Parts: sequence; structure tokens; C-alpha cells
Amino acid sequence: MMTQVDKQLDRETLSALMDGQLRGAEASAALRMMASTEAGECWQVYHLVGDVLRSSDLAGCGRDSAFLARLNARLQEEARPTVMVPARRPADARDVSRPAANDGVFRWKMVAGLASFAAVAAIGWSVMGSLGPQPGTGAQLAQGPSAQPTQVMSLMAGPGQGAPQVALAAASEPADMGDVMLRDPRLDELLAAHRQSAGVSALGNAAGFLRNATFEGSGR
Amino acid sequence: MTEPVAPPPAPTDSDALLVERAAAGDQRAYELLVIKYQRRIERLIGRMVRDVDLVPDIAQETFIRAWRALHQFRGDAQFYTWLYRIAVNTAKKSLLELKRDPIVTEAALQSGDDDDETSRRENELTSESTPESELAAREIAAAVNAAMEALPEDLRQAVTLREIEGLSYEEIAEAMNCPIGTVRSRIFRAREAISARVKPLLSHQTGKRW
Repeated sequence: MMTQVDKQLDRETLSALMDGQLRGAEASAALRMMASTEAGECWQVYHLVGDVLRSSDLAGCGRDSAFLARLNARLQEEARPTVMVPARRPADARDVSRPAANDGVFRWKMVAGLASFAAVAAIGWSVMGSLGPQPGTGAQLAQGPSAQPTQVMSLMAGPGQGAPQVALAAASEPADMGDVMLRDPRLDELLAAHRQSAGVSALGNAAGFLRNATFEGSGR
Repeated sequence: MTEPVAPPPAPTDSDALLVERAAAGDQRAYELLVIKYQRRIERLIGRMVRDVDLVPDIAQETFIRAWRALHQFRGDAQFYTWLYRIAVNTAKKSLLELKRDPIVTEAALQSGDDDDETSRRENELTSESTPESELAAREIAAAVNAAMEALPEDLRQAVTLREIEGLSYEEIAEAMNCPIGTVRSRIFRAREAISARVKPLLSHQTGKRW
């Protein structure tokens, strides 16, 4: 049975513990003593006195008596080991073989498959259309006079001539040249070699689907 | 006119001891730390949110977060400094979730290490407190001050040097020219005398608080 003197000694030890004056075994003994409710209350009042001595407005703080009880309850929840995989309930086990909730309402699997097939087909169609020129298809960017389609003639330079070749567009001089366009064959080669890059620079991605120019003879 | 304020006591080993035990899973040790710092943390949060109903919940969340992160506390700083940052972040997060702005800026809260004792009174939580809680706080403060006035000079000096000036037992012994054991006894007796005046007020204040 603890006497009055023993209690006083315990409180003095508690007071010293508050001030960090205990070491080693003495501190451990004091902490064991703190397990009691009375020691806890004493600890609380001593700290309240200290706080109020330093700043009187602290007397109005921390006065919720249920605060510690709620906190302890939450700390105990925190202390419980975390179950990484929750145990499956019997009802959940039954649900595994159950079909999806929307199975009976809508044949979503079939629709999804058809939509995927349609998407692949559309993309394929677009890719195939863009690979290589297809005569007679695609939009026509340039067009000569509607009544007189332009005819292109290449001026073949002789081996020894080395003279500049002339390329004349019918659109520039329709009255003089009529249906005939004179063009250097090397220009055709150059245009053929740079068709893609020229189209991209001028028209962006859409150029791959378009023809740059159409020339038709007068007899067609 | 604002009353003179005092710095908190110098960091002591009691915090380190309690933190070490709490980090090892001793919930009671952590509870003692909570009791020690609950008032300061609630005042800090009250200055930020200015809503007395939010303060306990945010304080709870603060202590829960600190408990979770206790193993990360390396002891480089004071425990209260570490706890202070958790409280500020928790209050900010709570205000963000409530789509409110904190009342005081981060710059106004920079004095975390010295417990915000220099903050202005207009920022204090008491402006949002109920009249009953205001009265209770004033009664407690008055009882503490009256008990201090009634103390013998040597006890008053010893507890003042410890609680208000923050001196260690060794420094107090040197200042009062007495053995450390005497300092320890005087501080204890002063605390007992003041507590005897305060306890009846605590037991009489029933209801939600106390």
C-alpha cells in the first residue's frame, strides 16, 4: 500500500521527468509509473500550469476531455495489423461465376468486336488510298482551261546543244500556245522525285491523298 | 496592451525519451507527448482556421499523422518543431479540402521554434471561442497567477526560472545558489501548490470541454 510520502515522492519524480532530469533506470521507473491514471492527470495539470505561466491564452486550449479518448481509439485502429488481402466473404465467392451486370441488357461484346473491326477497316482503307497514285481518283488541284485541256510536250535537248530547256505552261500564255505545253523532261524527273516533299510542304498531310496536277491531251 | 510572453522551456530529454518509446510502439508514451503539446498545437491550428469547431479534428489528424510518421523523426530538431510542421500542413490540407484560405500567412507562422508566443493577440483562437470557454480560461489563468503570488519567494523563483525562463536545473541551482536536489524539490512543491488551485476548476467544468 502506497503511503502519502510515497505518493509525494512519485509526484516529485514525475515533476523531474517533465523537466528531463531523469536518466536510465530512474527514467524507466518513472515511465512505468506514468501508466496510472493518477499520474496521467498529474502530468496533464503540471503541463497546464506551465503553459498558462508562459502564456495565459493557452488556458483556453486543449480542454476537450474526450480528445484523448478519441485519439487513443484511432491509435489503436492504427496499431492493428494491416490485412493486405481482405478475406473473401461467402457471398463474394458466389459472385465470381455470375455474369456481368450488363450482359443481359446489351450484347456489348459483339458490338465492341464489330466496332474494332470497323475501325481497323477504316484505317486500312485510308492507308491503302494514300499509297501510290491512283489514276482517276482523288481531287484535282490544278486544271487548265475548261475548254482546252493542256498538252505537254517535252523539248528534247540534243547531246551537243546544252541549251537551256524551256518549259512553258499553257495557263500562262493560253492564247499563244493553245493546247500545247512545252516542258523539259528533266523537270518531269525532278517533279517526280520531289512529289511527296513538295506536296507535304504546300498542303500538309492531305497532299498524300491528292494529285498535284492533271494534264490531258487535246484529243482525250 | 499585450502581456509579456515567455519562450518555452529549453528542449529536454524527456521528449527524446518519450519519442523513443512511442516510436517503439508505446502508445502511453505518445499519449504523454500529446498531453504535453495538445494546447500549443490547438492554439496554432486555431490561429490558422479561426473556426473553433474545426480545431479538435485537425489536431486529432495532426497527432495521428505524427504517430504514423514517428519512425521518420530523426531527432535533429525538437519534437515540437517537427510536430509544428505537421500541424501546419494538416491545417492547410483541411482548409484546402474545405475550400477555405488560411487566415494567417506562412510568414506569420515562422516562429514555430519559439512556440508563436510573439504572435499578435488578434490572431488568437479566443476571438472565436464561446463565452463559457472564455470564462473558464480566464478563471484558470487567474487561479494560476494567484497561486504564483501566494508562493514563497524561493518556490516562485525556482518555478519561474524553469517554466518561464526555461533554465535547466543546473542553471537554476547556480542562479539560486543551492543544490540541484533543492531546485528539484522547490519546483515540485511550487507545481503542487499551483495545481491545488487549478484542479477544482477543472473538475467543476463539465460538459463537452474538460
